Amino acid sequence: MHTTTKNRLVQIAPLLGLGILVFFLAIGFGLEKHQVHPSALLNKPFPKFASTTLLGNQSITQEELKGAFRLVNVWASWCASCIEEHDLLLEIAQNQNVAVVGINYKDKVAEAKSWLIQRGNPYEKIVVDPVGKLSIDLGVYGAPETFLVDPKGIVRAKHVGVLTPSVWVEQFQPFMIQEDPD
Amino acid sequence: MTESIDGFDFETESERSRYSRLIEEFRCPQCVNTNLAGSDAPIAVDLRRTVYSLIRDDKSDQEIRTYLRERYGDFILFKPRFTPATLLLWGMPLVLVLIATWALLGIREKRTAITLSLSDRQRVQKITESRT
Repeated sequence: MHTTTKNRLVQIAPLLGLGILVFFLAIGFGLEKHQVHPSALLNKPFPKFASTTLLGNQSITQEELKGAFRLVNVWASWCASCIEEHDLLLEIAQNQNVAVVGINYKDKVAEAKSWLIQRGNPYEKIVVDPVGKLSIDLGVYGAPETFLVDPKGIVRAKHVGVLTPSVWVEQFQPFMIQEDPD
Repeated sequence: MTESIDGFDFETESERSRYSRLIEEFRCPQCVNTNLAGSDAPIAVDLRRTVYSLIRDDKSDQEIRTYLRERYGDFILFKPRFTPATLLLWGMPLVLVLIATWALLGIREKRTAITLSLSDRQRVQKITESRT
């Protein structure tokens, strides 16, 4: 009796192994890209910084981001795919209940300004990040990247790459509805 | 002053070797399986500069690892940390060795367990002889 159960075990071992393999593959393929690169910053305070604004050259820190939901968008005039999301940012700034803050990533001031004049300016404020120091603190590895920061200054969501209407609706908006009773 | 790497100058030889060792250790976030040392991507250049300035700021290797992990997540470490999520990864070799040992012992046990009585042995002999 003992040997037969042992033999059965040996017989089903390959099947069992296959089952385990399929299980892990299913988990692996089920992972979305943003889960493979989870932001280390999610649910943590927006990193401290002391910089200046692109337009007006005023000093600005992380404190200025608090008090309301803000969509923080890392962009540059040299960034080709930033153009793709620009219309959406303009629309969000105009029609949604959220202010858009820009982080001008490793850019030249004059070029950034003329880019905005040409395409319109969705940003409430723009933080200059000439060497990418703040962006490294944000875990940015290329423009565009977009963060949702809540009124307490906590990072709630992050998107790497071009922001699309579906990303905005599915990954960003739910946080704001959840916290906003209106 | 020692030989410079990537345009960075180092005060001591140990700082220089720490720099080259650390940039081998981190994954370039933008590239497919390349470390910071082996990539020309802008972010890899920026992160090499970050590693350099942290070394110059007298940060330890562990502090530099933590600094990058807090910003870029576990993804940036080529060598995974020991966490509940990586328990399976680190524990699996040990588990496999245990299973293999158990299986080998089982096989040996089976072999020694086959002992035939004299009469059985004669029967086996008869059968095999009659077949030939």
